[in-house]
Amino acid sequence: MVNKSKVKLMTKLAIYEKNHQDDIRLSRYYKSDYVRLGLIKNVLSVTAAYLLILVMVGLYNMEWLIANAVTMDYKSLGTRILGYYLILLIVFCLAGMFVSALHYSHSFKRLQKYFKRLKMLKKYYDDTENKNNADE
Amino acid sequence: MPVLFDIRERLRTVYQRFSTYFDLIARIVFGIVLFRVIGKAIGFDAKVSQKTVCMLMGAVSAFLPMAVMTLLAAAVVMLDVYAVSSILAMFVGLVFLILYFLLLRYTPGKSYIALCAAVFMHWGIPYILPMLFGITVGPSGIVALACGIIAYYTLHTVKMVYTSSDASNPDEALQVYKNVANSFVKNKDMYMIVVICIVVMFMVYFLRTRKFNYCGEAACACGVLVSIVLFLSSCVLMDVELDISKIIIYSVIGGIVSYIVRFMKLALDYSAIENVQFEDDDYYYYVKAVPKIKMTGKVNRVKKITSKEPEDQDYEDEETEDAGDEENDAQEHHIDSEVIMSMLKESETMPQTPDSEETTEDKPEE
Repeated sequence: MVNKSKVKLMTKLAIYEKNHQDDIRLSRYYKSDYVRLGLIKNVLSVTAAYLLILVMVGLYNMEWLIANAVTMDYKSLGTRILGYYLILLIVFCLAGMFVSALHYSHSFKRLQKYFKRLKMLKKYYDDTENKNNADE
Repeated sequence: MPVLFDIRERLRTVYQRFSTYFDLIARIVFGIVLFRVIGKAIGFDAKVSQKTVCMLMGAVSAFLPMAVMTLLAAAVVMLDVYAVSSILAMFVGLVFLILYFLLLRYTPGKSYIALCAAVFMHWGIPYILPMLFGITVGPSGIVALACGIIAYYTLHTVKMVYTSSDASNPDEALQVYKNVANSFVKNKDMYMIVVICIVVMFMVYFLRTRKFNYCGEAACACGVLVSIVLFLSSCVLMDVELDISKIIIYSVIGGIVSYIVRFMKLALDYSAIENVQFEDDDYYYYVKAVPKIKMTGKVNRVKKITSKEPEDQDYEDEETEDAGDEENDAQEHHIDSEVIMSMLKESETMPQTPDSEETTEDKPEE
């Protein structure tokens, strides 16, 4: 015989799993680990974006670079490029850490409800098993 | 006023019943409009800008995730520009990639905002969007909105430079690239519109989430005022060329649209606020509860219950027999359909009577 309350509970769990797959994936991490993972992704994406910006600026100043390729002060140029990169990296990594932490907090609130329902389902199965053992 | 709430409930009920179809149709229409706008905004490649191609791409992309639709739109734009100049296509591609790596990847699922921003910018009416997305989405949409505006200005600059110089000449490619980069970086219209849209959107979101009465309505009204003031002052102070009448008209329209969306999403009865206080083991709570306005649907008032006589009577609709008389348009009481069926079954077992009693029933006993 079908237990209505169990079906309702499982339906709610299934709906949540269907609509919030990101939350389920996120539940595997601690907050600090998730923020660190976000930080690594940020570093990679900011580095890629900065390289593209360098390409665009390099193309823009191509004539000047070719004309001054021999006499250019590469040390100061390299220092400036690195400086801008570090500033961009720090700003975006701080912003990315904040966004990741916020995302984790919001997801965790929804996950708590999900875990509560999972516990209720587990309790149902445990009770059913105990009842069957008692009958035997 | 109750009529409005009644209409609201009916529309919500209809949408909930057919939401799958409505969403699909909306996505198809949006896809078709998006690719048509891309074709009209750039239009360098006749094949890509064709009506049928745009409609086909729009219809197909409606069945794909929004991120794929965004990717497809970017690819179509680059293909269109590549038809006349590879250096310009490279410039557009680089700008899109930089926007994605730095900004758009932080707003997963919000790329439709960027697409809407680009479309509305092409139509010359970006004033609606900050208020609409401030009411519905919030600060996470600010980044996507800015990306959409920047993407539009990228294409606008490319088209402007292409029409004013010989971009197809490979010898002039570097000069063309420098012209585009200069025009893009020094485009004060773009910065002004991005900043104003961010300010308006953030302000609308901030007011909407406050705790005072009628905060949603105040957010819409302030959004309209601030949008008009900021755009008009930028026209005067920064010498930006914008149509003043469009600013005012479309800001007001944006306010009205955002108010309607807010109303459909949430209707609160501020006259019935309850302030309560209570405590538990850890905290003392000060709670302000604002009830939502809900209208119950019309229910049928049963005036006649007739016994079932299939030989004598000619029924066009069997449901009419079960629901009662056709005169049941004055609706006051709720009748449970199970009660009607049980009553009809009882009447079948009883001796048939030619006339029925006119009854009005209160809430059935459970």
